[in-house]
Amino acid sequence: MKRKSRQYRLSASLVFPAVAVLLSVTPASAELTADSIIDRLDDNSTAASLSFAAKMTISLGGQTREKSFEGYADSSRRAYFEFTAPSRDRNTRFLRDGSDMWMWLPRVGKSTKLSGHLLRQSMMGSDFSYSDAAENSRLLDDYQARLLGTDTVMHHGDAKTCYVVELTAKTEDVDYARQKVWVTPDDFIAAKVEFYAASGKLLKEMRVMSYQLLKGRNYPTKVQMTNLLRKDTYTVMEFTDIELDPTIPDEVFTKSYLER
Amino acid sequence: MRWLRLAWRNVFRHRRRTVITFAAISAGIGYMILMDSFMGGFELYSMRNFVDQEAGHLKVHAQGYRDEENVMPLDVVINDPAVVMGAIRDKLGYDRMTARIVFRGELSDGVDQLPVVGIGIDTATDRRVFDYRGAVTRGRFLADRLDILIGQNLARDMGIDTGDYVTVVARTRKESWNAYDFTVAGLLGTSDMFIDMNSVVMDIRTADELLQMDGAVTEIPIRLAGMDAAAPAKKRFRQATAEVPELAGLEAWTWRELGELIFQITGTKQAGGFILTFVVIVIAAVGIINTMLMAVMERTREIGTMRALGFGFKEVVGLFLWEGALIGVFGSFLGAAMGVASALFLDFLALDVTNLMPGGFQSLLPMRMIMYTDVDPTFVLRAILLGIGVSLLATLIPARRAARIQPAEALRHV
Repeated sequence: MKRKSRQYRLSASLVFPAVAVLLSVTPASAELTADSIIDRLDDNSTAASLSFAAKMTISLGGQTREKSFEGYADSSRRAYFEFTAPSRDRNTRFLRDGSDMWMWLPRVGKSTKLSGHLLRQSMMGSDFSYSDAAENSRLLDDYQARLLGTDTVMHHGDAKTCYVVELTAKTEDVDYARQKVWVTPDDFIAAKVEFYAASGKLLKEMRVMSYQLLKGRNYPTKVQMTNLLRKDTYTVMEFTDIELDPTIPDEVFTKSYLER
Repeated sequence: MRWLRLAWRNVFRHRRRTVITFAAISAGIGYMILMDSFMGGFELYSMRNFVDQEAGHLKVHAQGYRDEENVMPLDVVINDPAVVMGAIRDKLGYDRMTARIVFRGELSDGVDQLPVVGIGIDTATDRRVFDYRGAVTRGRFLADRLDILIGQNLARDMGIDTGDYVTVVARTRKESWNAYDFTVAGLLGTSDMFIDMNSVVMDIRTADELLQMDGAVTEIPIRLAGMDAAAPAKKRFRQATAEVPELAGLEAWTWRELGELIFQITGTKQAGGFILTFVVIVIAAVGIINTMLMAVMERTREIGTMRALGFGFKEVVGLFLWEGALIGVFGSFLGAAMGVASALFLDFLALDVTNLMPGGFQSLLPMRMIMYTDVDPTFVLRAILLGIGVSLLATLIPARRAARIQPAEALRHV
């Protein structure tokens, strides 16, 4: 029974026009493979380019702080964003190009390369690290997927049965050696993602709280990240304005733009 | 000699006044020596600490490591430490050395997560250079692979005690996240605040796995015969890197170079010393001038008699200079003796003055402050000469005044 209803919802999602990629799933096996599940998840949550305004609500020990920023990202691991609020952080700018990241502080008036330990630290005191926040690459590029089965998790206040896919890093140089993703079977959203260290230690948990249908994609617009190594903390990142696949001039991802 | 005897008697004609002048000069010189010894002791103490807890005398890194040292890179490393240490032992003859992995990570107790510096030590050989075993103030030293030692100040800030479980999160050599759970075996109380406030210490084999180093280490610290041996050893090491293939691509840094920043701060010693010297000069000069002027006033008739008997200008000035010199010499030597004695006594007491230091000092120079002193013999000698010199110069003014006295007038003087 359960399976049937899932397949029903699955086929309903096929109605969405832009998910033509789905058709690449071998029709012979009606069953979705781990790769195809993640592929569809990737289709939804990555974009060739992105221009956005976002609000980050950092909750720590019962207190919340809000920070707003806006910027651009593309699929070749380039990102530019600057903070717009609060006034203390206004005009603090970041540029990411691959694994390099620079920060520009208005008070300093000079850009600093965020390498090593700085890059590892949490972004502006949130549960996201700088590299978490600037991530826009396809999971299947970096990970081997394996379907573990199904599991019920809370999603939008409902208990929802999801595919559980284990992602194991193909190389040693990705942020997380292992991820476990709970993918909703109907709209292919990551209801929950667990991020693991190479040792197997669970580090962070992410939940997609809401998404919008944008250019045929169920794009996550509100995400909650919880650093499980701290107590009473989580960060909600919400896109207040978003455009997928805009044309971004190359000049945006340069140090001279950062230091303009 | 006759003049000296005369001067000697003159000096002691007014015991009380002479004693007061003595006291002024002695106190000045003594204080000067004490302060210099204190600052010298502080400098020596901070250097020793740095060498004993952090640097060793000489530290070998892969070339380029120092340029990125604040990042503590894991990709500029010594790939085969055993081979390198073997080559250092065979070709250079240094055998007190160990290998370490130093990295940046974060420490979590499930409540907070703070950035820390992780130090992976070889528990078998670390003692050849450092002594963390003796610095465990609570609990015990590393026994298990998943034991960890935490700087006591860091532990206090996070509310961690021995037996607690903590997690160390770090990026591996390949930049992937990794995290291990550890049991807090002990708390470290070195006198190096950098370690007490920021560091966690674990077995190098665990650090190697956590960071996926594949046997590579970030540094090889070496202990030499003494602090002064570092510079020549560095030179020898540099020559060896060209001749010994195992050492190619490595470079060595002396403790002084590594601690440049710390010792720059203690360099304020010079400025402080200058002001101190000036104050001492003024005190001594005022004391001497006062005493001598009084003497000249009192002895106007006597000086008149001397002049009448045919003593010349120079001889009168000479007499007074001898008197000044006597006061200077005795005062200075007495002061030096007192200064050296109290410095040695303070060194013996070794007071912990960490909490007496002004706020902000701790962040400026992160270390525990034990008041040690280091008496610098050349400085003592210079202080004594300064005391005598100032005394002589200060005597010159009253002496000339005395010598200018006209005999006829002087004899009428009441």
